[in-house]
Amino acid sequence: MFFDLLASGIALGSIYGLVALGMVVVYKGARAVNFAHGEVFATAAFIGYLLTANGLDYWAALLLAILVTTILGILIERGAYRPLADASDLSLIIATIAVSFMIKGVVRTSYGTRGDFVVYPPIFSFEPLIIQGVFIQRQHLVLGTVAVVCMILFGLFFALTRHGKMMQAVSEDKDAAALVGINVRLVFLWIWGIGSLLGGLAGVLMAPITLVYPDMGLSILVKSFAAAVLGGFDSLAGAVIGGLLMGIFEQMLSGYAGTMFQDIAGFSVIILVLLVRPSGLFGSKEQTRV
Amino acid sequence: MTLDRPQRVLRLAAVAGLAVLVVAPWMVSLYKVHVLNVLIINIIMAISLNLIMGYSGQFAKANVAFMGLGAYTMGLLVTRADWSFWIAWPTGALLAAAVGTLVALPALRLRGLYLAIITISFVLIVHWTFLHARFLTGGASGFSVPHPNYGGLPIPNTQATYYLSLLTLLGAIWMVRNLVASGFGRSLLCLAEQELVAPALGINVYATKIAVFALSGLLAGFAGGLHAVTLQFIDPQNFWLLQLVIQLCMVALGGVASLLGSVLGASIMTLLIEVLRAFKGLWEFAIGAILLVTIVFFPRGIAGLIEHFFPTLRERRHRP
Repeated sequence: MFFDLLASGIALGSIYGLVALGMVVVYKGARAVNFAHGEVFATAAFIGYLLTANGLDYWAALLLAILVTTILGILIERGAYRPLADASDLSLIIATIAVSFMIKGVVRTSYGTRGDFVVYPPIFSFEPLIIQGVFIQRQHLVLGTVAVVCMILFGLFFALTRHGKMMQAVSEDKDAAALVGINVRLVFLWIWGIGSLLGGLAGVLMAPITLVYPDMGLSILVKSFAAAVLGGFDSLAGAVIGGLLMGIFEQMLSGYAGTMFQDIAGFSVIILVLLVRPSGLFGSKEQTRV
Repeated sequence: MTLDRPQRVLRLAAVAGLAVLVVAPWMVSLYKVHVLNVLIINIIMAISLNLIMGYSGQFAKANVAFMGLGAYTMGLLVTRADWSFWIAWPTGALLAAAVGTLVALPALRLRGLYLAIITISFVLIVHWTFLHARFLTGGASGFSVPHPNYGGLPIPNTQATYYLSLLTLLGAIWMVRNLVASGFGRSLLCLAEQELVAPALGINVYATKIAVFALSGLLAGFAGGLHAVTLQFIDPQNFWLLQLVIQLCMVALGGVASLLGSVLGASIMTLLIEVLRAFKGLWEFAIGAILLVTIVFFPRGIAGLIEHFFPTLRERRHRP
């Protein structure tokens, strides 16, 4: 049982890592915590569902859905972040919470008469693979792999390409970046777009193994928050590792202690980490100035 | 102290508003009395949240949990232990204040975003406990709570509870008014504006934070008990994130660090929710849109807007 739980923990954890990565990109780049990130995830899942239910191929639906969430991220930047770029942290937090409610309202209205839960068509058969005596669901295997590949691609993009380096420069010091001729406003748009792309990608990947429902954003938000806090909130690698640890911890907890504890895994991790080591495993220490 | 014209108008409006609230229960239907009662409780909650978020600038969002603790403690003591409401109610509030003190401890180390995250997690854990400690709390289905025993009071229970809420609200307003006008209020202002400077001015940051968490918890605990007897039911969903966001909306829309703002914000939100209750998706969208527009265009809320035009209405934070 240990290895079964480990396998599903890694698969789910890679999703949490992907969501957390999207969050950390925005935090690192734009100094904003996107509380609407969970709703971006839920929007992607719902759009993916609509498209596949209408006969589109899973992967085509995935591409379209993440395109929509990328645009959504850009809209959030324009509507809620840019007007508040110089406002207090509190204002930004409230603004993204506000956006999350607006998105949730639209998504809930779009469900219409479908009821509160819809079932995403499975991409693969439910028959699990058995490797060395360990049960692995095919969907878990595929989504885990895709998530890891995307994270590697993103890491390469961020470290090697010109655009990635511009994003790094802006997150380091936006005034200095503007001085050397980087269009900071445009880079902020990318940052929010890419952050939402990652969240949306995770949403479509996760949808076939869970139900799709209007409130699904909240639980993923808490879990990926936990992953990001665990990893240190301003470390990209930390978010991914935090996500994996979070997935494994959650699966172990629900496997050995009972499923009702699955819900509590996220926030107990958050509280413990913040009490013991507020900067997380890999985060840099916060500095305070007058 | 002489009052200028806007101040006199405001005072008149407050007296008129109070008069309306006093006679209202005899003029409108029972359902509307109920809505007004919820509105009054929401104002108390907005004041409690504003005390911690506005006046002292702490990003703590645990008040909904304090409210729940006040409600559950009161409800369980009355239904399981046969306590009188009049003892159980303050006990619940005191317990909420005590837990508030505990929550203040991590808040001594954490600030800003991290404080927001840990207090939101606290709300989720308390809600989870309400849901899963079924032997005690009845789980997701909640439990009913009787009317308080008003003895020989010659008015119906609904109205009596309404007046109890109104008295509590007046007490809360009186307390916060005096508090922010005192030396303690000045310490809070310093915490909100420049926390790092506070120790240099001789302000005991730890004691001040703990006190403000306890007071905010106390108010929320009282509000929780009132909420339970007003609804005559305790439902864990009422002490959850949605409620937290609604209260956040009240404070942001009305105006941070303002009693006038708390009253206006809570009133507008309560009525809005009442009107849009049947359309859940639309309702969420409306809350979000109002909150976003307020934060972007009127960062100091409605009260800030009023104070902008009538500067003498600004609340005085200390007595000279």
